[in-house]
Amino acid sequence: MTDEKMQRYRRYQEYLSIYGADILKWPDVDLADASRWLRQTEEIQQALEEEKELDFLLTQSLEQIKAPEGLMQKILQDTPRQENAQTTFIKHKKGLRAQALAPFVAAAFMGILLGAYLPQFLLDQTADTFDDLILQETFIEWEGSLENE
Amino acid sequence: MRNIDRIEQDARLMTRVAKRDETAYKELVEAHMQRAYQTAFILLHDQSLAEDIAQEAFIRLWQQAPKWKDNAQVSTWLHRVIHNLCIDRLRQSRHLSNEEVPEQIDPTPSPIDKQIERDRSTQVQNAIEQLPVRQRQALVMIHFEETGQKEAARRMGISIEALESLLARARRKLKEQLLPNTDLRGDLK
Repeated sequence: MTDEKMQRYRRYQEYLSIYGADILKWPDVDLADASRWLRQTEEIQQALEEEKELDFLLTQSLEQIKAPEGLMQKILQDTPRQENAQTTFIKHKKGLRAQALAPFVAAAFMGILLGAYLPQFLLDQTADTFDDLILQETFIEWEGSLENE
Repeated sequence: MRNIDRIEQDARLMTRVAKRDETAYKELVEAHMQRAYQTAFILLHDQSLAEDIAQEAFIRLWQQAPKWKDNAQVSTWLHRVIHNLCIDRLRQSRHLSNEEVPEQIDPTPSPIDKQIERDRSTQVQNAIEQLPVRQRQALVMIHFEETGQKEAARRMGISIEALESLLARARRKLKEQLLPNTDLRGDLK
């Protein structure tokens, strides 16, 4: 037997233990040559039978694994709903934010109107004005004094 | 259905799913759900987790559809996502560190294992579960998903030689466990 042939047969032997008995799964092999090798000796045929048995067990075990009945429905129901839910949540979040803020904004405006709350940017001038009001005797005088400034 | 027909059919369906066609999506789920679940189950050996993974993978497929590339294959994409999700789950549950999990010696079967010993398929699944994750992953890709060697090696980020080494060790170990009456005749002289 030539060195090249021996090397090839050694490789077949490895393929048998790596990829199993189905020579179609062996990478880049001459199928006719590989088939001939598999029939060569009783020892090889015995190894082939063993690999076939393992292949069979693996395939059989995979076939036994069945997806649960409800899974299909679960996937179909949840997929679009999840996306919708996500969109709805975002919309809801925006709505929620506006809704939650509305009473505070209204209260702030009411406060400003009633003079109970004064925004910072108005505070300095208005505080001075109030001081003036206290210092002066009447509202008319206070108003008059503003006009005069 | 032939593989090539399936690929073409999937591509057509994905175009419709991108436009949010739920009927097309249903067809895709029908075509791939069983295999998706099987892959997740083989890798995780847990029905509930396998369901979650399959579900999550299909949700991602739906989300991915508008950005789908024409040359992508649904089955390849799904298997890749499922593998990654399974590896994440295994890491979370500390079944897998970033390093290769040390190979385990055949553990003593628990009473439950003894009870279900007669069920050959369960026995096979248990034997697969005992394999280190990388070996399991290689076995699933080559044997169950019929991924090509180059693609499998690329997806695992290893050389073809390393992939073959993982496969050879996986099969040897499975033979030791499942075919105990045969001495390892794969090791031919």
